[in-house]
Amino acid sequence: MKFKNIFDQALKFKLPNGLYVELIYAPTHQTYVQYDMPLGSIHSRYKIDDTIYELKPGIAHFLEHMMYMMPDHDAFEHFHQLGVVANAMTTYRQTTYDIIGHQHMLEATLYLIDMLETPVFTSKRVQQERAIIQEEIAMYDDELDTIIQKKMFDQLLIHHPLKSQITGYKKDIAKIKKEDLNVAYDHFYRADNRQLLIMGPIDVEAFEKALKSYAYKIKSPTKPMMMPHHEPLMIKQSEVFYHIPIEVSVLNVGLKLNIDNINESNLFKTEVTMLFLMRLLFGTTSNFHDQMIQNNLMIDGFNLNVTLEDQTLIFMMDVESNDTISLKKHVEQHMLYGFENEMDASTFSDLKRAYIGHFMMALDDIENRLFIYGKYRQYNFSLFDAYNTLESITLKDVLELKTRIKPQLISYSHFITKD
Amino acid sequence: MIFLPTKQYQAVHISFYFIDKIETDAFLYRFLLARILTSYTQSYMSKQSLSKKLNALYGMFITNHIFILKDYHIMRFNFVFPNPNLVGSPEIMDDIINIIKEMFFDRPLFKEDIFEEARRYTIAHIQSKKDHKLSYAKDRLMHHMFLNHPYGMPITGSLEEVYQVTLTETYDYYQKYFLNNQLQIYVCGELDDDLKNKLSIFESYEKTIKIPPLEHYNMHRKIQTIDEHMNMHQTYIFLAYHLPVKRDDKRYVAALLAHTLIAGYPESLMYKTLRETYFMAYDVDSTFEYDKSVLILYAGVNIESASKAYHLMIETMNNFIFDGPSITSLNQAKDYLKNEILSSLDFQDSIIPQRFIADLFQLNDVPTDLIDQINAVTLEDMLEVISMLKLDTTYVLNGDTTYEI
Repeated sequence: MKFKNIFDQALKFKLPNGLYVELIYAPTHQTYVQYDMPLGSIHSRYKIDDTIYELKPGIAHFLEHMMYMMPDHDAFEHFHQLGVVANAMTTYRQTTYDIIGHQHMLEATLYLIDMLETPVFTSKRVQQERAIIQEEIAMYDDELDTIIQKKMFDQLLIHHPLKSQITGYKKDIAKIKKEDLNVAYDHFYRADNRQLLIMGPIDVEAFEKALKSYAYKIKSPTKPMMMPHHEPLMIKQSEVFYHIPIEVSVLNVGLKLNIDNINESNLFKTEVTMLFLMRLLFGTTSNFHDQMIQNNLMIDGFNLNVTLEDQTLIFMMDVESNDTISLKKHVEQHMLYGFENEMDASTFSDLKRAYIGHFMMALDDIENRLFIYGKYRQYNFSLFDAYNTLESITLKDVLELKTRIKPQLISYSHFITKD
Repeated sequence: MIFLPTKQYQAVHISFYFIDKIETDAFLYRFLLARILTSYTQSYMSKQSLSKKLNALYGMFITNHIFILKDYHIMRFNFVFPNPNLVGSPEIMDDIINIIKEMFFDRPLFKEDIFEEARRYTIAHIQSKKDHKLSYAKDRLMHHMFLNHPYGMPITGSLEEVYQVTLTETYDYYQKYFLNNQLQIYVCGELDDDLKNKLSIFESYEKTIKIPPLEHYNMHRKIQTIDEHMNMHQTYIFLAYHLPVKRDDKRYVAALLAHTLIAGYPESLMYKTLRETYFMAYDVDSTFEYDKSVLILYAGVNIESASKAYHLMIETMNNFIFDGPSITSLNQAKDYLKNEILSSLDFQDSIIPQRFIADLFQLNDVPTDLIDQINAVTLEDMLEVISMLKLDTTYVLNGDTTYEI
């Protein structure tokens, strides 16, 4: 197996103010700059020295929106004047600010740093941005996928921050004030695990020199310690029927597990092993899938998804069905007792091979590659580690994980037309 | 067969484009075929066995995209797999070639169960359109704009047609028409001579046919204003403008810039107005569909502000058509568009479609030529294109303030 796209030739250094930098020369058409802040939507409690702080749901995403406001101008406008494209994204674990372009990239990078070191939070601006975010939430709330996911989080989780969605609910963001934003900014946008990754046809020496000599406003880093979230090992509701305006019914199946080990390699392994298990049981290669399609109980295949954050693993799979009640009975039976029929060594070996292929191909997308690389790096994990972990998973691991699935940890949602 | 060599990617993409004239009677057959053909082959007689084989081929996956573009109905099948040399298994190429061959050519009568599964899938696909609100709204807009013209018809065929369609007539269509489609094949990736030689077996299947132009749709009419309602948390507003600039028109790049300036990026007029000035929208967008001669402007807005947003959009567009852009805003839009083009060159998924479009419309330019064309656009060019914009249809899908799930 030969990998072309794993960064092993980067220039790496850490600045005295805590910012970690990697400069990666690559013969691409564009230069990709990614600045990661260690604040995501699942962070709800942390400690600095001996003081414990709480974060309001939706605050990481709110900050992302607010950072483009400079004292006398809009930073987006300035980026476009420089001829680069700016964007940002909040995930469960981090907030990422990107710029992409082919000209003025060093200038744009320094401006990005300046923007992220210049908080301008006034009550008026907070109120205005809140209106935009509320429209963003309304937009997601009209997407069926979001509705399905939100309802399952509600059924499975007692008080884990995953419940709040990345944006927060409208009622959550109504409570966010400029003071909250200032505290979150001070503690996380100065944190010592910020990172700046730059990849493209860059003059590495010039970037290094400029980044080392830049007059940073942030002089010394903070060290916020995230506090683990202790989600009870129980679910809230085991089965709910939602009668909503929908034309084709949907069954969603959810499962919750608590993971004791916080080592990133183990978490990654558990996440992938869960996907292996569920693909073997319910994927397109399974006897179950074949039979349910033949019996007209499923329209197409399941959409499978695993989220593992803060030691809580949530697995979901949804499918359109004309008879969600009968399908649920089959799923329930198969989830607990159907594995003997599906778990053969050859199917497992082919599935693992497919995952390795998909892992390789996913790295062809430069933005995706840089994002995954940065996400893993924050937890001292590398793309090589990910590949090696994938390679190490055995059928025995899958069968072991299977033993942890208990009926009391599974939940079902039926989305059924109002009529 | 066109080889598009690249060195930086780990995947190989092979695309088959089956092209025919646009006939609404054939929409359903072609939609069903996309599903049936990719479900099984002679060697892998069920979805399950084909899926297992695809896993063994390092997760090769097949996507299909059915669309109409100008005069053409196009079915694209894209096969993506890790480069056999990189995974140290050059022999998998023989299996891949065999699967592709059996998928499209010399197929016996389709299996009844696969046909029925495809039919059920199509019924659910049509029925669930309303469940995907934005995509449903776009379909409604196209329907209202083009009515019974093929551009206004669903690409799936109608529900009534799906209930009546039979296996025999679908297979008949496959044999008599599909196999006689124009076929263009593209391969993108790092391929050595050995892999290229193996793939050249498909060259004999390629063909070119004469496709007559589609009957023109006359859009010169009184402005249509359509309002509909749905249970949702926002109101969607669409303004559709007639803009007759085709892909090979020298004003094409100016039209692309007009779309960028209107709502194509975060510094665009509508984005600044609706989002940054009035805080009534999050998602603002525009598309320029050159093949249908329409520029469509969209905003998902706060329900209570919908009427104000609608009038702001009309007024902003009228002012833009009257005044045109400033040189500063034009230059920024040019930079944005150049970035889009350069980013697409770093993205393997865009390489084949770009080349296909160039071949289909017999364009001599390569993507980087577009950069020179963007640089050459003047304010006068912009004013000429903008003056051609004529509002044709406004479509509003209204949400409901009392709606809760």
